[in-house]
Amino acid sequence: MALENTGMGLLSAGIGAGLAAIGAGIGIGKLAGSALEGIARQPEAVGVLRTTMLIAAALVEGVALFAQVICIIVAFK
Amino acid sequence: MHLKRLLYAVPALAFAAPLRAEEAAVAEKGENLGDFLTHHISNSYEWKPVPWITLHLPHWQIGGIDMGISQHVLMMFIAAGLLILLFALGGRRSRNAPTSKLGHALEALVLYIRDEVVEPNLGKQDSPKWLPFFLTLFFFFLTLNLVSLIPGFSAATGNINFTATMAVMIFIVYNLAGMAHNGPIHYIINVVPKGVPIFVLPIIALIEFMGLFTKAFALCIRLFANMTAGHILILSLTGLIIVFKSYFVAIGFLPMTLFIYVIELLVAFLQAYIFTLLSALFVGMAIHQEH
Repeated sequence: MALENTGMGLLSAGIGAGLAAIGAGIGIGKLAGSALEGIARQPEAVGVLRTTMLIAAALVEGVALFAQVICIIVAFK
Repeated sequence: MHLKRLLYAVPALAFAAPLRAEEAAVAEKGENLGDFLTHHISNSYEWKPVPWITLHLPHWQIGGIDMGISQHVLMMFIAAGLLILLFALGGRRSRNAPTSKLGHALEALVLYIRDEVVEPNLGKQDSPKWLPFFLTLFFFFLTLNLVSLIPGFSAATGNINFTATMAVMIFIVYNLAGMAHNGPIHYIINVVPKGVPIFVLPIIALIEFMGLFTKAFALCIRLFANMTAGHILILSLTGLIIVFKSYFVAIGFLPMTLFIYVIELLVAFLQAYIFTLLSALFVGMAIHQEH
């Protein structure tokens, strides 16, 4: 029974990490898409768009990394 | 024609040699990937700048708590010493602009932080008071992140105790700044924004008060997780040598590792900048609570 619980715990850690990666991928993908569209419409706004995109990407990635950290903690317990 | 340009790739490959040397030294002892990762990510009282030199760092106890200069503390001292050296060499000698090339390079970063991070969030009057604090924060984090990428050095910002301490410090700083500027009672009352309808007031109050804590917590976790995840990624790709138990797989995995390494350089700058930006934002929001 204990071994089964350990297995479930590790499985859930793996699935959680994967879901977090999906979330990060979708979020940053949408972000980069909008940034590219903005650059295509107005090439002279490249500087502002690039800075804003990088900042927002770091924040979205931060959220995904919370989940990854929790999964690592679960996996190593 | 452009063959000389290919020579620029050689210094990049030079980084591969210490990584692989360390790998070779470790793989011969038959370790597995888990131990390898844990050994390189966690803090310890021995430091191997190159695989054949082991420094035993001083270790003492004060009242049952482990104190002493561990690897990450040594990284902090190295980063601080490097910063003092760089700014002493590059700083200006008179009231005019700096004259050396190093001074101009540092001035570019300093002006960027002043014009894009501190002044928009704090306003023109308060910005000279707060500028040294945010500049120190930014350059300290930047140097720590960059130093952690040198093969053989470890990541102090990848230690959650370090980032938690910095987050607690920022929490204390922005609350004290808000209280000093607006008066303690007014600051606490104005945590809830004005113009909120009565029936959502309890929920908004709860969210805003918890928000004071979650903002600092998010700062801590964001920096820690980004740095640790990046280092685990690089170490895992390099540690595939251990998994496959041969050195020849390195030829295939080395370009991928170098690519991730370059991304880590970007992440080092970005995370230091984001920490500074968000801290300036929080201090600005605490001081000017009208918006």
